[in-house]
Amino acid sequence: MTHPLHILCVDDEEDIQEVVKLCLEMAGGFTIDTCTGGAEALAYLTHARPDLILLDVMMPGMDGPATFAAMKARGMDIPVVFMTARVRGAEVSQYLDMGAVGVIPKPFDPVSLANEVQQLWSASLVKPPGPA
Amino acid sequence: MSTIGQAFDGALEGLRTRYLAKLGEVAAEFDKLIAFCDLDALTPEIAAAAAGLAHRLVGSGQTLGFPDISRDAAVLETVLAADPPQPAVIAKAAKQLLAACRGYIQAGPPPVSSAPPPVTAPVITDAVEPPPLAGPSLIAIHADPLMGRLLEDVFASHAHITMFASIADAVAPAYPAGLLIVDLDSPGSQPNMLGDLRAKPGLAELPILAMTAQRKSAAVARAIMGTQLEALLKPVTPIELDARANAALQRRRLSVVIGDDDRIVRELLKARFETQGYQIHLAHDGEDVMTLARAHLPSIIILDREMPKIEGVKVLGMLKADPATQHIPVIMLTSKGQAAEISEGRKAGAADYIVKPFAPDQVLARASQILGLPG
Repeated sequence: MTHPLHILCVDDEEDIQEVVKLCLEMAGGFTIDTCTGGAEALAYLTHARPDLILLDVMMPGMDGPATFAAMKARGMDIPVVFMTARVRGAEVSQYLDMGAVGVIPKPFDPVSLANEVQQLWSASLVKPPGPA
Repeated sequence: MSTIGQAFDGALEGLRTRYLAKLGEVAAEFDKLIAFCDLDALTPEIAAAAAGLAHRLVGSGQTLGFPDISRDAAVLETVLAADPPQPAVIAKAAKQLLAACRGYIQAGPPPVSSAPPPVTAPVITDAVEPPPLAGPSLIAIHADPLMGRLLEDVFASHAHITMFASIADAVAPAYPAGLLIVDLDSPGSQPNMLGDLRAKPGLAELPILAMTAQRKSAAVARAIMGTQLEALLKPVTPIELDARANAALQRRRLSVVIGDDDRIVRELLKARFETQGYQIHLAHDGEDVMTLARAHLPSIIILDREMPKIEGVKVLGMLKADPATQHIPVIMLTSKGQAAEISEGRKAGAADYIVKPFAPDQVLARASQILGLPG
């Protein structure tokens, strides 16, 4: 890898967006862009290609899974990690079946987020995104 | 590097202060919800809006340093999902969340958790010699007769064990204890009470082995994150319990020198090794590492490759050249993963080489492996 990881964080909550940006930029040295919803993310992805997308599940309008489905329909094969509160086992396997490379439960630990994202990204290189 | 840590803490502090201000607005919403419940005027729309708000608080509260918000919002979200809705139960949960919001607002933002201890404060002193392995002493907190029998079966023959029915009852025994075992499914020992346990004199730094039947990884992860403990999922077999307790007691006799100029890395590793009972010595440059290694002769040394004053590889050479320290295994950390550097480190005598960014658990696991500890 010759450039710092470039991450897109899609979350409708400003607090989460900012804390993710802070953790990943300062503790991880990554480059972060943020979008507040699915439609905005799809528009962003027409002109940028991040290394990985952190995608909130519950968002008004187009939610996380719908955004992911729309990305796949448009042939955008960027690794996606869902972030969600109150995650259950069945939900996790559902997201992984959709082709997500991981699920980060909220609340997350700000200090270890950068490591977690880095590891999920490294793992995504081994396992290509998208259902088999 | 510490300027990055300071900037990080400062920025996080700013986000927390702003979040607290928002909690004030949120509190007003829950006030309204309680009023609707009291008037028996709760509509599906109001319930759905409150559930959405609660869901967001579950996800954000603890991340920003307000764990009770996540916990109480989760309760509210659950009761709001009940069909048919029970206004009295919803109102009670909303009041609890409201109390948590107001408590945090009154207390102001919490200190940033990655903040370092004052320079002069000892991290863990070497003053109290732990009991010999033949007669370790344990404290167990549980309210389950079956658990009591399991603990006695496993430990009675070779350890002193003091039992308490609840976290509120627990006190440090007169002789030094080496391990706390807590059954998190006992009514008097909920995960959110572990903070109270930690606040008791003599119990603040003991490693905790927590047993729980909760298989939801998120719940266990939250408990571990907040209070630093090791979790054991039920059903627990006697062999497993014995092995984990012995490993924890053995680690209590272990010490580690952590040498890294990046404070975030130091604090991450300190927190992780501390949970396992290691005595910790922190060094921020190569000179420090040499001084602490010679003074404490630690069980293992974690050494960053790029450090001010004396760089890591040179420190490694000095440690290996000194008869007093040459036997101490050294794990090197590096942000550059080139094969040449790894083989250079290996040749200089590093027991292992870990490339940054790493998971603290990974470093701990390698250290356990090198020291021949189980788990």
